[in-house]
Amino acid sequence: MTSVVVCGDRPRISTGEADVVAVNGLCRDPRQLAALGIDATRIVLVLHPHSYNLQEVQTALRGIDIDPLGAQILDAVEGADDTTLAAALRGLVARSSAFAGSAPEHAKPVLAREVTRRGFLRPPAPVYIGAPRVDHSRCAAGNGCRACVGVCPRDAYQWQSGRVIYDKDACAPCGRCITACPTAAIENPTATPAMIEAQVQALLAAVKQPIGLRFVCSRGSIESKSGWFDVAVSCSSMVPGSWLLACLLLGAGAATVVPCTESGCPLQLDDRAVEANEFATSTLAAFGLDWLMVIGEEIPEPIASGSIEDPFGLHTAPDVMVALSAVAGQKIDLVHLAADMGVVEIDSSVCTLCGQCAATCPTHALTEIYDGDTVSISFDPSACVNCVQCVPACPELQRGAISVSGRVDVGLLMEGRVTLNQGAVVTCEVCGKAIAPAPMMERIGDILGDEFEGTTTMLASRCLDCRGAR
Amino acid sequence: MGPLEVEYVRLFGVGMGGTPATPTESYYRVPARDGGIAHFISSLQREYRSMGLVSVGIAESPDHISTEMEVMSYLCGLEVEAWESDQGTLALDTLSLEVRFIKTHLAMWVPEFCASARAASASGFYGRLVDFAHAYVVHEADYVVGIVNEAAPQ
Repeated sequence: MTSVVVCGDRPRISTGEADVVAVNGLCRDPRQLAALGIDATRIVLVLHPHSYNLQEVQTALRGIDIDPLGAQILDAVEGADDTTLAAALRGLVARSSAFAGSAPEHAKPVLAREVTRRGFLRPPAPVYIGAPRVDHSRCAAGNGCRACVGVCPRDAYQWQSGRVIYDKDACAPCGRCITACPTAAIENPTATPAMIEAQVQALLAAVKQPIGLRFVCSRGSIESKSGWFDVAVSCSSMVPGSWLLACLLLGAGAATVVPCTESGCPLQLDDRAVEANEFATSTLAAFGLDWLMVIGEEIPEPIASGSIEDPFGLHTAPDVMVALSAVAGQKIDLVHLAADMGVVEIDSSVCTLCGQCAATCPTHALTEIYDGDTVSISFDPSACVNCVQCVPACPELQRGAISVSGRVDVGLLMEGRVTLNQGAVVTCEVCGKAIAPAPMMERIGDILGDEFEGTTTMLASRCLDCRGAR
Repeated sequence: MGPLEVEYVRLFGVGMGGTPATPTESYYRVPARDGGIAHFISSLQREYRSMGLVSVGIAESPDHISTEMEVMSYLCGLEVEAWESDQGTLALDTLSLEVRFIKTHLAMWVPEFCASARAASASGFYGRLVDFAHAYVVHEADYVVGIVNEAAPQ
């Protein structure tokens, strides 16, 4: 259950399920929460910006057994109309209700800056912010995946012997690792896909006229805009363009991600937010839909009011594209750097079918299958998240055997899994077991040259067991 | 034996069905083969000696959770004394020792140990106690690192 507590003497506002309680001077003294007899485990607070101390609010929440990381705080904006406030509150109540709780690993302490040495006699209580945690049981680092290592702007991840090591102290946290992780093994409980979906759906249900949705950095503060509602994320750089398109399909009239710099974020990670907006705009334009829906001031009628399963989760981009294709009545083939889905291409004249790409692929978009005396590598475009982990895994990378592009090819998506390369398998002349793909043996022969022809012949004629090699 | 003692032995003792939650660091961090555990414990004892600590009487193993928690408590006590006697440099040095000890030992294995204990005693006394121990170790590790970082360049 979620409670809503407003600082001030505002009259009761209906938020649907949750009661709204007004407390005068709550910003100044959050300890008043203890006297309210709240038995909810989730809370939404409406507080005046710059008038409260977040550390005191978090301490007061812990005192009434509410996890501060799940608390939602809405800025009390002077002059905001009750309808807008009620809708925003409904969104946050839904978001708060979808909070699944946090573990100690999720809490990152942030200490007040410039503490003097004498000040350490009484160290300041920290403010806690949500930090990501790696679920090693889902992490694909064991197969060589380093997607989080590659995107982290603070070098908070290191790959060591098939395991990623996370340094919470170095982490911003910006959340780029969360949307970059191909197996959804990293989560931050303060902005989970389920919480974002709950908030978006509640906002869309609360307002009858078309609304715009803005993904904003939870650390920043930007001016409110009539008709637009904010959805907070760890950092706007974590938002993929497909999330904006998913909002439109769910019934929003417009959706955008506000670049970090605009909201005053010191991380300066605005490039990704700009790219996400561009990707969404380009995709809509390619579909022949009104591109102003992403960046326009006026909020147009929604293009759809459908539903998508897990709209802000992993592997949603292909579903979004297929749904948009149905709305637009056409297919597109768009290449874009910021696409959170990709297409793998293999040059079969160079590929040796060694299968390293498939062994590394964290989402199993690439698979290698041995079937009798043939071997094939196939690709499922609906499973590819454009993480590009297959490229450095390829031993023939220098010769251009594999490439991945951020690409939305709806025709290919609808086609399903396709074979990218296939060839014969060399079998053991003694036991008949598969030794290796024929192109791989040929490549080994080419590398060893005529001088080692005998070795090549031996390798291609007997398996490891029949050679007594193991 | 009282019910808590029975539960203690069931969770942390060596029983017929194995130990649900082994309370020693080496179990989680060192492969049992090739004398790895002996080397690990010797190295830990060297670390204790460098802090001026020796075990007296009958004590738990140096890598037992109670021993490591006691070492952490000792370091915290030294730090408090240093602050109270206005020896800022000594206090920060001790704090750095705490950071090193908690990051290289307790934080490396206590969460896993607690998860095992919780799985075997979700609603029991020790299940709740390991929740507390888990939260303490993780929060303390984060907090001391933060304090040392704040102090570093001044």
